[in-house]
Formats: sequence, C-alpha cells, structure tokens
Amino acid sequence: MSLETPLDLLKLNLDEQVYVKLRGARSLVGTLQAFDSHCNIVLSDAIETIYELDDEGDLQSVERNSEMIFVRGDTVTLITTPDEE
Amino acid sequence: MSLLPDVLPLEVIDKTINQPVWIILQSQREFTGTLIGFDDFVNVIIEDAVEWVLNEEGEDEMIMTHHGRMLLSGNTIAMLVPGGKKNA
Amino acid sequence: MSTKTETTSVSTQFLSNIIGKPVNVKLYSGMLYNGRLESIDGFMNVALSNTTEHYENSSNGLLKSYNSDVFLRGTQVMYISEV
Repeated sequence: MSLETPLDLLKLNLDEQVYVKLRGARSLVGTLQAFDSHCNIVLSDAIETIYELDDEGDLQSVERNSEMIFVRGDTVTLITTPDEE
Repeated sequence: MSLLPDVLPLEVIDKTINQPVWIILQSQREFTGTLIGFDDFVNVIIEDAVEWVLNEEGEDEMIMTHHGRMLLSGNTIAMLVPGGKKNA
Repeated sequence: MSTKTETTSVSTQFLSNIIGKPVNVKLYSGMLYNGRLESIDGFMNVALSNTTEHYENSSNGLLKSYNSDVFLRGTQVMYISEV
C-alpha cells in the first residue's frame, strides 16, 4: 500500500473546485467542503448536470444550481478537478 | 460436533493456481485467463485475461484482451471454473 | 494456514508492484479508465494520472481526457489491469 492513499490525495482538493461523476449519467461541479471514507460529499455553489436521451435519441442535458448539496457516497463514481476553460 | 466437511471450497480452488480459469460475474460478464491467486475476499489475480460479455443472443462477445496481470474484484464474482472455458 | 497468508500477499503484492505503472481500471458501469496508477488502498479506491476515459475498450474511442488526477471509488471498481 502506498503512503498517500487515494483518499489522502482527495484532501488536496478541499476548498477547491471539483468535478464529481455520479451513477446514472449525472455530474456535479462545485467547491469541495467535506468528504469522508464512504465518499459522502458536501459541495457548495454546485451545478448538477443530468444527461438524458430525448424522443429522437439525442443527448439533452438539464442543469440545476445548489448553494449547498450533500451527496451520498454510494452514487459517486469519480472525482477530479474540472477542466480549466 | 461440526457438520462442515473438512475440505473447504477455497482449498480446492487453491490447488488450481497456475491453471486456466473461467470466471463468471453476477452480470453477463466473464473472464478467462490463468489463475495466479486470490485473497480472503476472493478478489482474484489472473494473467493474460480475456474479457467477454454474453450478448442478448447468448453469444460470447469479446470485449478486450489483457496482457499481464489483473486484479478482479471479488465483489460480484459468482463462479470460478477451474480448467477454463471450452472453446475459448 | 500457510497457503492463506501466501494468497493474501499475492493481491497485496500485485497492488504494490503496479504503483506508478500504466493500468486499465474498469468500473461496473463499463467505463474504462487508462492512466498511471498513483495510489491505491485496500478498498480498491484508486488515483490515476494522465487519465483517458473510454466505454468498454479503448478502441471504442476517447470519451474524455483528464488533466489532473482522477479518483475512482473502490466500490465501483470491477478490475485493475496492467497495460
């Protein structure tokens, strides 16, 4: 086992912008306020994006904003830093 | 008095290390390769694995071939078949 | 008993041997992540650098490439494979 576990490395992202991929074609971008070993997460100023296929089979997305959001760890699949634009 | 047999399932599997193995997950996914080892959770190490998914017609579709070793999570492993898969 | 400790070390040994090497990690969703293994723990939580994302296999085309380290949650990991 390495000295710095993956969860240790996540600490470096506290108070920073993160991109969180969730199960079921959802993702979040927000400021990482807190997380634990289950990957329960709290984000502030978060934008959630939900992807859906419309009747024509085209990919559509819906966005919504939250001042503060708690995400239960079992829906989390991936965490990284959002693309700089 | 214990009613448990004195041969444990994983002792049987332990004897098939370095032999071909066919691993079936709880999903439609399967792996073939050489069994290198496993731990108490039945996380499995296999070598030169081939990854398959059973399609709707029940046919094996090859997803990819792996070179070297793979640690396969024991979480959704349903079956380990020593000897490997016939026709694969 | 002796075989048990031997087999335990096989998976732990594998994990320490592949740190720093290029790996493929597949999640139960079918998403495949190719990158350099920075770190891993006993729950199969994984950190990768220089990561690319594909569906099922890399010949299915690139979905995304990540500039910074990617954390993958252990409970979602199906396998970690040497490249």
